[in-house]
Amino acid sequence: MVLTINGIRRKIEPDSSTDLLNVLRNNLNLTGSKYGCGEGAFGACTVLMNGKPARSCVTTTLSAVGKEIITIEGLEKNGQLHAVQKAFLETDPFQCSYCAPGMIMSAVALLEKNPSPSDEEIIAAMNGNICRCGTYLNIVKAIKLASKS
Amino acid sequence: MTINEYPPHPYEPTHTESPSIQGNLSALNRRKFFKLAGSGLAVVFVLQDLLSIAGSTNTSTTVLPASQVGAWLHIGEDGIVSVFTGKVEVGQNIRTSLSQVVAEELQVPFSSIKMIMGDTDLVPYDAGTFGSRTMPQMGTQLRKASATARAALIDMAAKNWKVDAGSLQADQGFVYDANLNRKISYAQLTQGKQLLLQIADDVKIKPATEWKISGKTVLKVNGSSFITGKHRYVSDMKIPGMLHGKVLRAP
Repeated sequence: MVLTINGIRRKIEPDSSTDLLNVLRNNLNLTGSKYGCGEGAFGACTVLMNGKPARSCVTTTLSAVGKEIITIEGLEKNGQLHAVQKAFLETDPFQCSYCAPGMIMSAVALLEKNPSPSDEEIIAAMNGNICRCGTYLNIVKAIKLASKS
Repeated sequence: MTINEYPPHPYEPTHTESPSIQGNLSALNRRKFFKLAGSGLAVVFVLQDLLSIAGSTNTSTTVLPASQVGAWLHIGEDGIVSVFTGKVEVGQNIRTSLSQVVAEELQVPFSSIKMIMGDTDLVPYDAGTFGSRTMPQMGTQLRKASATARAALIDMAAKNWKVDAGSLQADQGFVYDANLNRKISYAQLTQGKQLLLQIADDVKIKPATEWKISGKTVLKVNGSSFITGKHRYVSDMKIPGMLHGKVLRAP
């Protein structure tokens, strides 16, 4: 089985886990994507699949074959942070930051579809990402900042 | 304010409840410190004045019981300041706020501070990170350790230049002599030395009204590691021979 992750073709053992998150974290050591609930409700495992946000814990490895998968580790280009990462770094919205990778991936997907979203549109698009520290207002601020860059 | 002015915390074990032997650091001496950290200047915060107990000021032979060490810091020959504390970062941003304390009292840039937190092979015994005790207790201990190191470095520079220590100032990892327009880095001052200083509770620290770095809102010192996915949480760590446990419940 071959997966295309962050622009690199990676061979995966056929007896690997059936969910994409496990393959990313355990086979490929890409631990930026986090395990939250294992049922797609928390959002910390979010990756981009063909540009759309996907909860990797409930995405089968098989269904990811042939798709472009981008994880948090793949957002930096030539040592340059993605505009969304820059905005999150500058705003410093989080406390523990465990949800950060998923939040950032969802925000990247949102801004690609809608480069200048309203607060309501941000809240609607980010509804599947949970922050147990409760830093939501700061997260909206970071996405607003990213939309201006 | 000294830590003794705070009432005992209901969940804080007394000194007598601390185990007398803790892991690798059952006793600390000069050799062990520099084997761990390399040459330079190490400052150890002790919870009681061990010098008076031992009746000796010979730091090369004094052995510190680890249960009495609260925190310690080390300034290496490369200018890197390593801070060893049993407190852990779980999103309350103490890696940053404790760095602010050290940067303030020691007068070094953030980028030169390395916080070693909760690595039980290296850090002093700690009862735990809870109850908002980090800043009043660990913050105060590191403030005193840093203040001691700064004063020692200024003294070293004064001896080096044969001038009065009172005419010198520390800033950004250097000691400055404004009169003769010269400076020397902490790294240069500690080169080839293995100095171990013990401090107790009574060292003089900066009053809060003079703080320039502490108490100010700053960004996380390691913010970029979180937004790039590089930060390794406990659940991201893989250790050779690691076993996994799981609670199995009846369906």
